[in-house]
Amino acid sequence: MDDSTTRKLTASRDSSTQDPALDEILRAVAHAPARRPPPEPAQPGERWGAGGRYTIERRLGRGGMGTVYSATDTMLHREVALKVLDPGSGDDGAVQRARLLREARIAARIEHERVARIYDVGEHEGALFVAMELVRGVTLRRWMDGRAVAAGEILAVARQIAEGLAALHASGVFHRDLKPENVMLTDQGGVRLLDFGLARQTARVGGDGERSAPVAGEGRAARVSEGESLAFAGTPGYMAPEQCEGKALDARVDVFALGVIVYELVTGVRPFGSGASEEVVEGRVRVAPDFSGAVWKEMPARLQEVCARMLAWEPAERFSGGAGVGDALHGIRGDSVLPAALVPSGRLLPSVAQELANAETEAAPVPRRRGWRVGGLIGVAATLVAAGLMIARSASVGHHATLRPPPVPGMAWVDVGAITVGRSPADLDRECVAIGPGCDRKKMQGEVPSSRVTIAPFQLDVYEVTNEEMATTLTMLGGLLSVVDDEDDHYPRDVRWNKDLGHDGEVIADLNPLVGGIEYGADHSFHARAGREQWPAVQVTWHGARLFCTTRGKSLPTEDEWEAAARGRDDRPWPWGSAPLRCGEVVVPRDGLIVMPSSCPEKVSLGPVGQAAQDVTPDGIHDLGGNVAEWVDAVYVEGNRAARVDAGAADLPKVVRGGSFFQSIEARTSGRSRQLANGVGYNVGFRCAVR
Amino acid sequence: MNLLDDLHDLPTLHPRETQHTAQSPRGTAAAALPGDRGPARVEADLRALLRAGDEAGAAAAALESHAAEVFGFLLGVLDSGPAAGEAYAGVVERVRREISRFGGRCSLRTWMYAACRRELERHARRHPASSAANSLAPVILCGPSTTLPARCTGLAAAITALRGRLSPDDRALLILRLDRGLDLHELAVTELGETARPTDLLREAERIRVRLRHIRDDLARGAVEQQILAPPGEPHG
Repeated sequence: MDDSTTRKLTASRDSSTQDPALDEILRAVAHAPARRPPPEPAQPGERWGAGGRYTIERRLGRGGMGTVYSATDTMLHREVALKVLDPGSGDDGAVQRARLLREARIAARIEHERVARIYDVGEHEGALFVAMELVRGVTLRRWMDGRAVAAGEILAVARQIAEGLAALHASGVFHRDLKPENVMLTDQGGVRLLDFGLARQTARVGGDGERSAPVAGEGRAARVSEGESLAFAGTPGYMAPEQCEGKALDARVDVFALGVIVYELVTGVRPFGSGASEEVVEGRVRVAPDFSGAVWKEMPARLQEVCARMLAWEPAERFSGGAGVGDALHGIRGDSVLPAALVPSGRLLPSVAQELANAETEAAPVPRRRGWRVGGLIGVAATLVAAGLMIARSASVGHHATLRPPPVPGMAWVDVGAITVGRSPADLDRECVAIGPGCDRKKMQGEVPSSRVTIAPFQLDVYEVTNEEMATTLTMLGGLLSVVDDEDDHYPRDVRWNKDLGHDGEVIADLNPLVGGIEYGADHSFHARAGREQWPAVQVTWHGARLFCTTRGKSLPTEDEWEAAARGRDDRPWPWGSAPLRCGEVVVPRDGLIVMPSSCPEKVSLGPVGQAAQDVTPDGIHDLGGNVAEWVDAVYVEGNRAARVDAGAADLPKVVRGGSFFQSIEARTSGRSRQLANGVGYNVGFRCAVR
Repeated sequence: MNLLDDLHDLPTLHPRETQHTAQSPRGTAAAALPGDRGPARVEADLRALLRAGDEAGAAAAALESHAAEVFGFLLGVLDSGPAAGEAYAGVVERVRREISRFGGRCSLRTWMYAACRRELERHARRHPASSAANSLAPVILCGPSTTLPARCTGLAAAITALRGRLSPDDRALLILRLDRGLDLHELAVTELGETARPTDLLREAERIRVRLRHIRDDLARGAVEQQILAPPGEPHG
């Protein structure tokens, strides 16, 4: 700061005394004036398009030119992404509209498995929108950041991007904003190119106000609408030199961008940095990509050659388009491995400490990768788990597709949108008629009334928490807990929060040896009883269930979430569908309240999680109907299913959901019962959610 | 001693206002006021809607009443219009989804700031690089000041630099404390949620109190480096 503009203030300062000058500085730093937020172009529930064809579901995020929503195409009964153009004004608005329409026209011509499909374009109260394919998966950016990418994966991703580019270029268009954020790795493992917001046609389409600039050595020309600036219409770091300099463009800018992506996949950094635009321009012109790193020596030499040619400063020295790149990449020996093949399917991280450590890793900036490893599965798994924990708070979204990463190992996504929960009295009357004489209509009254709720996508444990998992967690918590002996028999019985640590001494679990599956050893650690490791953890209080989930970076599902998982978008009467219980396939109850063949055994015992082959939802979640009932994060309000009192309030009875080996009426997707938060049940377990 | 009764245990960080409004002492945030009915009336109306079971109406009213101050807060923390817009959309979704769980153990305004902080956490995880960005030009100190130098241009740069020293989380704490006037208990609620146990809130309030002291000390050092504040013990320059 210029000395002439300042003078030093107050004589002496002390951290314990008032300091008006510092106060004023602090207030200046903290000043955050109120601002009206930008208007939201669409609201959930609105119906857009001709005849109200598209029902807006929720906002997904923002693309280059507008806001993207998930919507339901009520005509074809499919989910779509609806990209709504930002409201512009004057010439800017006209230019944006023209660009959006151009994007729609371009993309609609292309049908290729590596390119996101566009279905429709329309207008709603003056706002233009494009209905396009809702691509589920993760962006290449999210997938690649912080991980060591194997050579096979690099080849697979690069080849598929090249295939997509080849399809674009064959249609006479080029992307012009290719970057990892615009490349999706779909749930099926394939690559899909997104966001043609900056795509240009290379064949003349006519119209006034356009100029063409032929590219040396090529018979193509880019067309630039008057009023649009080309100077930095792209993403610094991925823009070709001619793009940075505002020159005429063609398909080779996409080739250059793919070269940047390949270089980044190999080394973890971009070849020309990603600073301010001017610096990027200067860097590109004056600095050649560095292939001297050790990581390149581990790569197939041909890949380096292909990458170097893609990154050539002179367009004429690059491949002419995606097809040429694809041919060159396919000529490289080596197996390509789809990224989805690396998604682990089991629980890889057994300890609470490790999961928490990964959660912390996620919270901090992920260090960039530094080398090529063919293996690295552990690192990959850790990143995935951490990513899953991160997703716990909400669904990730971006551009015109949901960025729904693979679920956390051992969990499954549940995405139902708006559903009905609870039952109306008339519904229950009908159900009771179907159930017959055993129907306990009075007990079912707690399911009344029904209400409509919208559930944000979340993940739910595929299985109920097992004794082994619970015992591991209790051991990890060690000194935070105290184990109190039974007053009569003097064996370890109540596991409580340690009062000395400021807790209220709530009971976490009851180690009743007759019915529980966890024991406390002389070594002061907890163990699952032999043979019961994979049985659901029972005799755990609501507090204990919450504690377990919290230590795993998760939480108990709310009652609505639990019901959403069981009931689904298709409003199933049973978690597994509409068919009645069948003996031998489901853990059936002994009380016979539900329609069952008379040949069913009178009593079916508790068993390992997942033992009932039929008791699984379409989302892959097991045992919601049977084995044990489950705590949820909700207060039970007598006679009012629609009441939603926060579960943390007072020590009110909490809701238990799902059927069990002991009781069947709750196996219905709307069934519910209650239990005191400090109480336990030998037919009550739990599972966790992340949202 | 009950820490929460000792909200002025921060010599230079006591809130300038105790009422629940977004209005800054300089009056620059008048647009943020939740309507003209006064915050207490707005709060009462929202609670009435919730009691009546009109959750959608309550969410809409809450968002309408607090939109400007919430968005301004997000803008102050994230320092980017598009980023704040993205975060604001997340807050809107949260409010709509979660307002039925509002238990009334804090003001709805504090509850909304808690939603903001959860959304900011999510944003930080999704965009770790953006936390370093800080280019928001301060719109301050160009008016009369009794304690600071007259020219505001140099000060603006210095204040911008000071703001850049803070992590988004620290920036959020400072804004909520000084510009929005939340007390330590309310800050703890924004961190842990209204359902947290009183003992946990107490501990969190203490942690925040200490954190704010560190922030203040760090900013004081930065202000000395920026030559807009005399070093401790040094006489007027």
